[in-house]
Amino acid sequence: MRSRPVPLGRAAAKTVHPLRRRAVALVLPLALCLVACDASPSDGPGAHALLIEASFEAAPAVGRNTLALTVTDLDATPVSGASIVVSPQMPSHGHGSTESPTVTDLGGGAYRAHPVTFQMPGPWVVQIRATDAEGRTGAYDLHVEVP
Amino acid sequence: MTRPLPKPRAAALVAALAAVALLAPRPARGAACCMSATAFGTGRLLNWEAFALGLRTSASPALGAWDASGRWRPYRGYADVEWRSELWGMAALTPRASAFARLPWMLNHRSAGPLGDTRSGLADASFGLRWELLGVGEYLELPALALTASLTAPTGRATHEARTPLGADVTGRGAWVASLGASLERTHLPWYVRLDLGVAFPFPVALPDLGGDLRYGPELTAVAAAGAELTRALVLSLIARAAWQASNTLDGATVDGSHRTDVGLGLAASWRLSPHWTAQATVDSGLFLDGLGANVPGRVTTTLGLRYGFIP
Repeated sequence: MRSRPVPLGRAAAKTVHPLRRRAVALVLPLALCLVACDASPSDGPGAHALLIEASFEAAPAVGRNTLALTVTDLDATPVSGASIVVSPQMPSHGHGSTESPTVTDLGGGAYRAHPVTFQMPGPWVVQIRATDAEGRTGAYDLHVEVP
Repeated sequence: MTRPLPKPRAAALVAALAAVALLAPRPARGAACCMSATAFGTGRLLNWEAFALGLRTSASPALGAWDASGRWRPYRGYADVEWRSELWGMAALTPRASAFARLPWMLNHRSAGPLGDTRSGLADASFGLRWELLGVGEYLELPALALTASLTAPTGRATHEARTPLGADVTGRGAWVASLGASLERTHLPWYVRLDLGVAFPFPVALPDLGGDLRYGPELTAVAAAGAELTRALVLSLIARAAWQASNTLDGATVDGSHRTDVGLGLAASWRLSPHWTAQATVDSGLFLDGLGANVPGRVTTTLGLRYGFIP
């Protein structure tokens, strides 16, 4: 069951979390966005105890896409069994996606969300919210320009 | 005392004007999420009419879209075509006041890659009132002036209610919209000019797919038409339109980059087939250049219509 998405309100600031720079060095062996993708935590450092990385398995396009996720804590320890809500939204047009993705726990802190559906081209924001069994939370807004 | 226009030419021209007014192009209607709520009604009744009914059908393929910065991006690998049929009616309440209603039906086709869908359904219906403050030809020195007030109901299917991945079954925005309009007409046979101005105010709507209460921004619309009566039965017109919508708000906070701009040009023709029947045709197109749109799809719309006016 899909949880109620958190309102985006103003567009997420495009600042890069300092811890993300460290994580970027650990490049996942997956195809990354071939179009403009910009990701940002929706809050500054310290506001969340979980870190989320997200990338599309193929270049995002209109239709159904698959998102690969990793969730770690601040010590870079993978977090399994987290409850993750993925909500694609198009705030500039005043609507969300026509479908709600199902998130599958692949173990070792890896997750897969499908379908991440973009029903039209344009600027989308994929809102990702995670909560683990200990109640720790993480937030991530992935900005995607769908061609 | 003003001198009235000769009645036969006045009747023909008024009929043509009414027909053109009926087909005054609305802002391009892209995906239902992007539809504008027009502030304009269904035109007006002729001097002798008590009722008018009509049906108009349009086909509207989207060629691309403008982003929030006004950059035009043609579609690649994505198809979006709208067909819209609208049954409308007008009824005289008093010599100056009339009521109107519109019942639209949409059929959408969308495809991208392996996905493709064609669905149809009721769109957002509207109803309203029109007041002829100054009638056509009532004062030689003054243009005709009419005021309209209307309400659009969310009778269509909004995006959060969609059951298809590409949203082909989406036919409405999900919000009530109140609109006000004014229409000015000036005739100097065989020429006429007309200006329609409107403002629409959407009401807030709870959108579960955005997790909050969204309010689409108020919209200003202007349509200018100018034309000439070529024969007693045929009028051709050029039409220019522009619409601007302020940014949306979500739970009271402005959503950056959600404003909309839409401009276009059109050509319209009306044929007076008989005293009761009028046929209409319009071709309208966006201007597919950078800076001439924002956050809307660009469409070429072809519309055919038929109008029947009568006294019971």
